[in-house]
Amino acid sequence: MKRLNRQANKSKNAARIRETAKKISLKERLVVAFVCFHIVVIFIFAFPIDFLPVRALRNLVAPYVVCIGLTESWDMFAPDPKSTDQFLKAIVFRASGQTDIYSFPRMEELTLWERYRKERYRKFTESLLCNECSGLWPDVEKAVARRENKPADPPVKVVLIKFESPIDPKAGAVGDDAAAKSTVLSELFIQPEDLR
Amino acid sequence: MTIRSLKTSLSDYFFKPVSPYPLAVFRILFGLCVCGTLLLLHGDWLSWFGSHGWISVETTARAEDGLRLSLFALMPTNDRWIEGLYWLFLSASLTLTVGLMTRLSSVIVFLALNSLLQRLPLILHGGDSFLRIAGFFLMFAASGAVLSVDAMLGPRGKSSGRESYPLIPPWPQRLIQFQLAIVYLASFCAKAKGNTWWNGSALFYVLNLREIHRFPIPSLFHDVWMMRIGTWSALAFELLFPLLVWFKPLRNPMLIAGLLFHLSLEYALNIPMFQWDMLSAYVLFIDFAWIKKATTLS
Repeated sequence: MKRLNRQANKSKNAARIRETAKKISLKERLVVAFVCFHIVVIFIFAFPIDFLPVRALRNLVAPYVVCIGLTESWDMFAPDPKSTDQFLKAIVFRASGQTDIYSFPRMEELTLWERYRKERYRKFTESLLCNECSGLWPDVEKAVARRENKPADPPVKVVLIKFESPIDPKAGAVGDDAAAKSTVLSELFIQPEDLR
Repeated sequence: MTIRSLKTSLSDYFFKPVSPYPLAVFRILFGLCVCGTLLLLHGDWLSWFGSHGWISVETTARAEDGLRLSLFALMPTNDRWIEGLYWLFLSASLTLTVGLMTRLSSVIVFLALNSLLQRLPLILHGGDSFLRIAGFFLMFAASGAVLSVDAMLGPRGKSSGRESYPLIPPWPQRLIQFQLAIVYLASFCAKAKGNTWWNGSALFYVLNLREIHRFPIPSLFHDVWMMRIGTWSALAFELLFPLLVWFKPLRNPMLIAGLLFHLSLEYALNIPMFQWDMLSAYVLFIDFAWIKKATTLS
């Protein structure tokens, strides 16, 4: 009877060990799959390879990658650094007919510490000036109107203006505000609800 | 080298348990970088992410469709909640730095970094992206095994303090190292398409962008040939680092070159935290064997 019990225990132990081994190997396999998947994902999103299977794979995994923010193009100063000095201003037209100028913080006009703290404004301005960013301008104009709002004389219109001056090593040009070329980007009539 | 031996080497590289020190030091530096990023954002937090921020939630949602993992989307659009989120993010980055409830803290920090991206990608730079991706892999790492409050309060820390450290699975560390290498290589490939990087004038443009200036550059470096050498050196570094850092004899020279590269950029260019974000991951390539020797001797 004792021998039978011992045998039964042994076979139970063996089954338990087999079960544990199976679990470990499944966990290991999942980890290997996770690692391989993410290596591939990071690679195909970092390098815009225009090859049909790669493009198809990119489209397939894009919802996951975008959802958890694994995308980035790593293209600072590429393919070439900016060859123009750019900045943005807004003209605020008020109900009384007066105008005010709103200047977005410019790094070159700030102290060292302020420049470090406010650098996001440089990046923000640079992003706003991209070719496909016109959809963002109304929000910016409304935000300027809210910042410049005086209840006695509210803004009625905001105009966004881009200024550009060239940087050219051959001509020795390094950006000049006085000679900067201005371009009207957009204008928006402000509604009372925009100021709330 | 046969395919079998290559497979074994790769398997060892990704899965053979390693010292927990590089990852623990990285966790501390990473936490400090996140704290720094959040503290710099503090003054303008509501201007960027608030209910009346520069860009509305609706506009961001229209521009970036699809499912997004963002805590901003789960919160009521109310400035009190959004401010509360700031303090939650900052607290989690502090507890991650000291290694208190490390795993939970790393999850909250990743959610924080991803939420910033999903709410307003326009203001983020490459350093933020690197932190976010590294933060994703850090969630899976045993980064609190040593140099943490968790380790001090755990059974090992309580017992004697002289015990050797536990070994940890290295794959999250390898993925962060891989990501760092990819940043340089992708950056090289993007620059390789431009003319100015090949004709040597790129640095002239970079150093004359007034918006990005930091400290004055000595006149010596304004010489045409110095500009060319600087441009080509940057390009060469971005190509060579990801290829050579994996080989032990070349690792330290590559890390030193990278350190000099980032410190010179930190001096010349005003891109807050970017250089420190990148440099924080260098510790993952450093051999901390001397710590083991020191603990054995003690």
